[in-house]
Amino acid sequence: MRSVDILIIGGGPAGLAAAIGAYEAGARDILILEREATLGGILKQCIHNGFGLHTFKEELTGPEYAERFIDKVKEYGIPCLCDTMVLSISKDKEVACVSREQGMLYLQAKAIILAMGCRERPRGSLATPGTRCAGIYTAGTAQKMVNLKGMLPGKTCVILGSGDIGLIMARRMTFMGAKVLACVELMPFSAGLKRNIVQCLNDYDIPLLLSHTVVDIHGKERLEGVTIVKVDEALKPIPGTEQYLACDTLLLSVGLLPENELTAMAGVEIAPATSGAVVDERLESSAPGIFACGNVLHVHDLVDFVSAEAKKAGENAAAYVRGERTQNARRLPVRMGTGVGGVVPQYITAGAKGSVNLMFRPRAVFKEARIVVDIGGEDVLVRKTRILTPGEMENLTLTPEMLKNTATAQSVDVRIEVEDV
Amino acid sequence: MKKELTCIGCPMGCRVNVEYDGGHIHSVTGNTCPRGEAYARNELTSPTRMVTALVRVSGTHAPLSVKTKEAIPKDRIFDCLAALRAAVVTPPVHIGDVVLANACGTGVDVVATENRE
Repeated sequence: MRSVDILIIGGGPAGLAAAIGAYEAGARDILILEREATLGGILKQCIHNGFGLHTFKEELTGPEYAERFIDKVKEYGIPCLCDTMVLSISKDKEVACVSREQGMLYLQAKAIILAMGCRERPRGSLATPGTRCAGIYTAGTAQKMVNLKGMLPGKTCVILGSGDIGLIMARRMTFMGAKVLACVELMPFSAGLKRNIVQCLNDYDIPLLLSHTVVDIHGKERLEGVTIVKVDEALKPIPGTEQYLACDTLLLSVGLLPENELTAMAGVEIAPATSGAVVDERLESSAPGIFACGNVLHVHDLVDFVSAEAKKAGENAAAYVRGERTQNARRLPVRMGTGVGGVVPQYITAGAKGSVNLMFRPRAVFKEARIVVDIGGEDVLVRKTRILTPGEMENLTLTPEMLKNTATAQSVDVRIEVEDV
Repeated sequence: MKKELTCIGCPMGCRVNVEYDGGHIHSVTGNTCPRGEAYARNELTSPTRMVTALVRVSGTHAPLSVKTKEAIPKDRIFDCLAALRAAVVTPPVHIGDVVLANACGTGVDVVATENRE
C-alpha cells in the first residue's frame, strides 16, 4: 500500500490552502485527492467578483482567486490526483479511493486533512408539494450549467430562498437574457449578504418577497408555474394570499450542508451546531491526525476565511507528522452562551500556544451588542459591535495574553450582551 | 425628489434617504457613518458596477469567464453584455488578456478571468 505523510481530501479552496500551509511548514510528502477533473472546487463556477478582499487586498473573481492558489501548488510541485473519488477513510487513516485512470487505490496516511466542502440542500429536503417535473434546480447546479457548460436552464424563473448563490444567480440569469420574476424567502430576513441583495436584486428590479414561500409546483413534463403564498409569524401559509407565477424554472437557494459522510465513516465526532467535525484550536478532530477545514468543518461566508483556516490546518498537520503534539493534554470546552451558535473550535487545549481564532454565528440579529469571551471567570475579550446577524460569521482572535487563564480554567465561555442604553 | 437607498458599505445596511433635484443633492439622512453619505452621493450621481460575464470560445460549448477591468456606468451594463454576446475568442487565452477593448466606449477593457490553453 502506498503511504503518504499528509493526504488532503478535496482540491477546492480549502484543500489548496491546506496543501500550501503544510508545504510552507516543511512537509514534502503531500497528496491532494480531487473528485472533479480540475482543481479549484466551487470557485471555478463563481465567475462573479468579490473574492480575495481580505487575502489579496483586491477584488477578484472566483476563477482568478483559485488560480493564485493552483499556481502556488504547482510551483511547490505538490502532486494531485484529479477525477479521484474517496470511498472510505478508516480511523487508522487508511483511505480507499477510485479513479477511471488508476482504478482502486489504497493509501495509508500519517495525517489527513478533510476539505470536502459542502453541498446544497435539495428539493427533497423541503417537502414542497407538487409534481416532479423538469425545470427545478439548486442554484449552484444552474450556476454550473450557465458558467461552465454554456447552457441556460430556462427563460422565466423564480428563486426560492435568498442565500447568496440564489441572489448571484438572479443577476446571472438576468444577464443571460432570462426573466427573474421574484426571489421568495420564507423568513422575514434574507440569509444573503446585504450587498448581494442590492447589487443582484435591487439593481435589476427583481422583487425580494420576504415571509413568502412556494406551496405548489405545477407542470407535467416541464415546470409551468409555482404557487407562492405569504406566511405568518409562525411561518404558516396565510389562506387567501396565494399567487400563481407562470415560470419554466425554479431555482433553490435554501442552505448548504457540510459533506461529512467520509468524516462520519472515520469515526470522527460531529457537532450538531455546525454539522461539521468537532475540532480543537489546531483544527484536529476527535480522531488523532485527522484535521478538518473550510466548508466541510462549518459553512463560511467568505472564501478568504476558508483559505486562512485551511492554511492553519495544513501547518498543524505538518507539525503532527513531525511528532510535535502534546499527548493527552487537558482540553477546555468552548461553551456557547446567550445568542451564540455554531462555535468553532469546540475545544481549546489548556495552555494553548500562539493565537487562537474563534468563530461563531449569532443566533439572531443584535444591534449595539457586546461579544464577551470569559476564561476562568475573567472577561478576557469584550468587543463592541454595531450589528450582529446570522448571515455574517464572527471571527475573534484570542491572543496568548487572553489565553493564559486556560492553564487553570475549566471552560471558555462566549456570549452576546446587549448594550445598556 | 426623494429616494431611499440601502447602503452596502457594511452589514448594518443603513436605510439612507436622499433629497435631490436633478444632479444636485440637498440632504442625505439616515446613514450612521460617513460611508453612507459617500455611497448615496455616488449612487445618485454616477452609479457604477463591475460586470462579470461569459464569452464564446471557438470549438467548445464551455464559455470563458470575463470581467470589466474596472467598474462601468450602471446604465451601460446591458450594452456591454450585448457586445460580449457577439464576441468569440480563440485559445490560448490567459487571465488578464483583453477580450474586448474599450467596451462600448466606456474606456474600460473586458479581460479574461480564467486560462484556456
